[in-house]
Amino acid sequence: MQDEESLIRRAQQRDQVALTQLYEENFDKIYRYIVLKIGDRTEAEDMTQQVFLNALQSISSYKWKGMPFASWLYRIAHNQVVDYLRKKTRHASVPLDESISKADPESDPKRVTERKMEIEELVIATKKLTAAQQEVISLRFAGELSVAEVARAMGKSEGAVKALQHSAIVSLRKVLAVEVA
Amino acid sequence: MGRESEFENILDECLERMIKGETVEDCLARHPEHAAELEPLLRTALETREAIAVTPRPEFRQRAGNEFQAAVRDMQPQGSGGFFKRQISWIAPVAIVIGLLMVGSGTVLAANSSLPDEPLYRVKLSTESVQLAFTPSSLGKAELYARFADRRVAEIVKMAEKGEVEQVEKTTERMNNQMIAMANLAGPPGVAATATLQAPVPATAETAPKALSRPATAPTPAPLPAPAAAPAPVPAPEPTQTEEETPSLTQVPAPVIEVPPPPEEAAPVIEVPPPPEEAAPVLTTPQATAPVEGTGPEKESVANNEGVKLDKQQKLREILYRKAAENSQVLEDELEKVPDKLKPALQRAIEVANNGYQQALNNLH
Repeated sequence: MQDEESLIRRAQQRDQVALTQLYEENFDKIYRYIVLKIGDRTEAEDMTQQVFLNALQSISSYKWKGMPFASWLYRIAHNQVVDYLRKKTRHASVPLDESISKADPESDPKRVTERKMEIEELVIATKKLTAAQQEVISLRFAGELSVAEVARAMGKSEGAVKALQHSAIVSLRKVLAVEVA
Repeated sequence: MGRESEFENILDECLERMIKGETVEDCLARHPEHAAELEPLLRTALETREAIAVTPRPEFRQRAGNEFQAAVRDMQPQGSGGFFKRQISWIAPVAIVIGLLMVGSGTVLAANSSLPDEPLYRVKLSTESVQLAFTPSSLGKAELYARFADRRVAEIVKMAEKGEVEQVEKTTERMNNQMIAMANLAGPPGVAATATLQAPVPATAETAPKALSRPATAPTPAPLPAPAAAPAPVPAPEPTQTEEETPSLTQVPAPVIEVPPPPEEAAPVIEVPPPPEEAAPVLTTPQATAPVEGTGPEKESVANNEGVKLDKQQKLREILYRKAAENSQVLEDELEKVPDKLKPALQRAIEVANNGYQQALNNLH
């Protein structure tokens, strides 16, 4: 943590190496978090980039409070997702399967099919969870935050997050089992 | 500890160990008494983790990395780093400005009045970036963003008059990003992270007229908003004492936003508990916060600086209130004139503008 704090301080001084390191360490996690939320990999790419550009503009006002830097990025990402979903309701959206399949055209078709099914299933399944369960799954599995970090990010106790994690996995299992059947 | 919470601890411990490389079987062997209940959950968790292990396309990653590096280079360095280093890092923006001046101030002037569908528009946006780079303070930057929002609104109106739906949408998105940046900058450090455009509030007789209301006394620091269920900007209490302190602000009419119903796929709200100092923001004036304790010169100096900062915040608040009302009115007027195909894009622009100002004002409090 101490290392991350000094890394952030350097980043706030516009140290290019520090900024690049924060970017590289978090880019994929933020991308996965957004994919899980919106189910559109192409759109998630652009949104991920925008998260980092927004973070870059605001990093000077970031205040270290012992939380991982990623928590701050997730909050920016969360806000963008909210904005995106709101906007999406006004426009015709790209079907989930189409958006996922066109995202990786050069890969092995078989692998694309496997991946498409998995991620598609997961995105649809998570939509059937409660909002809090979704957030725990997103932060814990896509964001790779610990329970303690998720608890602080969500303003809940660790016990509450563990309970949500448990109920979320149970619900996911039920939903996925129904879909497979 | 109850059985349920004991099991939740074991489940979490297994998940943590699996992140570090243990297998499901390792975990089951560690907790044989819970194996039957644990196994299906651990397998589901494993599948979830594998399914989510997607990565961006390599070509996108490359392009995004380049863009990020360019954005980093464009930013003004701050704080320490040595005198010489600071001088070097100023060369790039200075060179841009000198370059623009050498090409001709006429070009820059022409660019300033250019529209999104014109070639010089890129110069206009670059000039804005340089202006931001040359503005060190957060409040100064926020003021600039407010000015840029005015420009975006004017551009949206012009594009709407031309019937350019796509340009209206693009300019709205540009304005949206600048509004987010403005809201981030307007807030105190702890709030900055939460800054974004607020989720729409279901329009009711009570909330609609207050969608851009002035948080008179103690607005609730916004938790991260969600499109559904989230009671986004908390309707401000009825103006009371504070209204009297700053009478000029009370005359700004609160624009009304037509808010669509919230989408079904509600993004969850991350409830971030506000730090103590943000818990009950009060609209204060520099006078009201003048030092009454401590008589040392150092304390006076700190208090004076604080007073100046509050004064600037107050000024920014006034600008934002005024701009919010003016720009909303301009866009509303345009909405009445344009053909139907342009109305959704303009409604989106109105919403972005109103929510953006609202969020910035919330953060300023």
